[in-house]
Amino acid sequence: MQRRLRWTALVLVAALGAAACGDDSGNAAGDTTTTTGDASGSGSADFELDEPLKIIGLWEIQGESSNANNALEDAAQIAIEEINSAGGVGGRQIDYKRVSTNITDPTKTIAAVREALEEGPSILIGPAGAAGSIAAAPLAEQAGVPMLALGQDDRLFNGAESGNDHVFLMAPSAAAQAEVGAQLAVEELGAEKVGIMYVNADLGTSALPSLRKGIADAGASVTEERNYAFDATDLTAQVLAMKGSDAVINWGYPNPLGVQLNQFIENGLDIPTIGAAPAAITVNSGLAKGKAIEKLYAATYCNPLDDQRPVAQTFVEKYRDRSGKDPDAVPAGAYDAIYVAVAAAEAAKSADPAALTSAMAEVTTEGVCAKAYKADSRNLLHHEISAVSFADGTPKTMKVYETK
Amino acid sequence: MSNFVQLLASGIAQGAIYALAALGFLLLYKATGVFNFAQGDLMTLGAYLAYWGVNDLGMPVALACILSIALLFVGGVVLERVAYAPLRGQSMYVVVIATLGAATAIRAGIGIWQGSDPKRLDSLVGQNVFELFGATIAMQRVVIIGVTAVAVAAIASMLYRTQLGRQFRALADDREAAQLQGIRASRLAMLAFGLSTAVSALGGIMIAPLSAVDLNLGFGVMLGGFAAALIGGFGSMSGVIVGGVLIGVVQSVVGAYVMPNYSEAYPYILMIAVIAVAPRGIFREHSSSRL
Repeated sequence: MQRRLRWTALVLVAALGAAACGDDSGNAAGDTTTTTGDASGSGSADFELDEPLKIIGLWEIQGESSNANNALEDAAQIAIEEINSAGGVGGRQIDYKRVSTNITDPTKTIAAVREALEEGPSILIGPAGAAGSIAAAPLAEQAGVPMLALGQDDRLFNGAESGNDHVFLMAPSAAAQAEVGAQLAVEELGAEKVGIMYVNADLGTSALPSLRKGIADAGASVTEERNYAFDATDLTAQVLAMKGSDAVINWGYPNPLGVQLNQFIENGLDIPTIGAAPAAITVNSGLAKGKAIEKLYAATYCNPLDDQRPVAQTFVEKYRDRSGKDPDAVPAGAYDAIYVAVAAAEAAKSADPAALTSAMAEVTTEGVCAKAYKADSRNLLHHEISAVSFADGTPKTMKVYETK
Repeated sequence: MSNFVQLLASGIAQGAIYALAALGFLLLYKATGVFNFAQGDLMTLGAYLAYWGVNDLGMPVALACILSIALLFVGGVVLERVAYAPLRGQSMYVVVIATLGAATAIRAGIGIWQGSDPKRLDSLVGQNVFELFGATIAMQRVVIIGVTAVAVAAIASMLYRTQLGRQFRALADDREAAQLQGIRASRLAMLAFGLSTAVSALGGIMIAPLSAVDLNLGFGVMLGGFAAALIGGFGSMSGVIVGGVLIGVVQSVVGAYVMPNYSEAYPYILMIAVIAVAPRGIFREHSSSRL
């Protein structure tokens, strides 16, 4: 009798131990952690989907508009190929389709998203720009389909004016990014007087309050604020106004940033410039080089080129093979979005849009562009911003900021 | 003082580019009565062709620029055959819409050919600068001013010192009378399209080294050129040249000191003011229909 009791107690202890181990892995708490690029488990998942996971990418490819290139499609195709070659999701190949989606004309965006929704997707990824994402957000909500927006705009937060509970943001907070730009200028580069240049478009004007706040919070002052057109070819007046600053924050597109950097050299202005994410394009396209970029820095979503994690290095290698170019944050985000969608499907064990929307809160995905994509109460998935230096022409990560 | 000199030099250089765009408008309008709204995209195409010559064909910059101008002259003739000649006799609005269609086709074609990533076209004079009254001025801006002056002088000399130029001016003065005199308007239209697009290419090639070669390069310049042509009154060469330089200087110099964050609007404010005060342009009265 005593022997039987001892065995019963032993079995109970073992069962409790196993349960405790289950808690540690997170599964019992309903949280699932996956890693991009690691598609090995997808095909052999312990569930079977009735319908394939249907992902629609909302972006353009080269030639479809003046803003279009193949970066997003190339990155998405890499992820899809990785996952499908490993067996797909829930025993089925991912059904992937791209719908050409213009990001600057909301009317065209809306038409494209409607076309995409008629296909009956499990999840939408894109559009790439803020204006496009804002135009698409209500359509995703009406259709009850989750949307992983690649555009960056804090108005898309769940609860903000353009967000809703179906829209999830793959890019970090724009306000936080601008504040990191200011912190970089003041705290890392030691500027006490900071000049601000910004494009007279949403990217620049919406960041302006955060730039001012970041500079003030860091204990520095703003010397001058000057805007410019998105296609400016001459920034003489703006550059001359920056004389007397210790550093300049230029929040704008690649071409005018190149104009400014070259005009700084012409004018003997040897002070740091801090740009936004497009600064990488300025350097990669050779719009400014040599001495002009020696003091160029950027606050950007991520810097895959200088990320030594295997997931980042593998992606960089595959992207180079496919496109012949170095990837920046933009394709990295699209690649990661495919994996976030897959993680949600695996957590939900379903390809149903409603189930995916619910599962988004449960999943944590290690990506190329973020160590952990995890939805917060605003549906913001990305919580890191990298401070990058371009001194020798290749981006080097100086510091990674965790953001709200 | 040095800042003023620098702003003035930048303004004149920017104005010279507007003047080239305006000259392209003027040449075509006078010879055919058409506003070619593909002008901006032709300017963009000119810069891309020069980039292609340098980077893909391995040509020196100067040779690539000449190739680009020559190719666009031919392109202008083709444009006339495709988008203008079949519509001859139609309302001007139909032709203008055709040029907008051509603009879209050119832009889409460049996008398919070269993609949307910006590209760098090196300058003939590198990134050299020189000092004037303490101001640092990029040599490329001096090149722009010089090349524009030479181009304007060459076109003026063609118009006023050659038989062909006399035919052009006769056509501009009175189309029907000129045709009755045996002037072949269709051949002159082809030449006007060719010259106009070649001038556009020149503008694109000049401005690209200061910024980047991308699909939007020519659009803003075209708008500035159109404003310059309106200010000049679409009447005389000197009118559009002065209009272009005036816009550039106002934008650069006045825009630096007076409400600088609104300087992008100054060309159009100036244009509206001129239209309000002198609806036919500031030079129109003295040169009502001359080139």
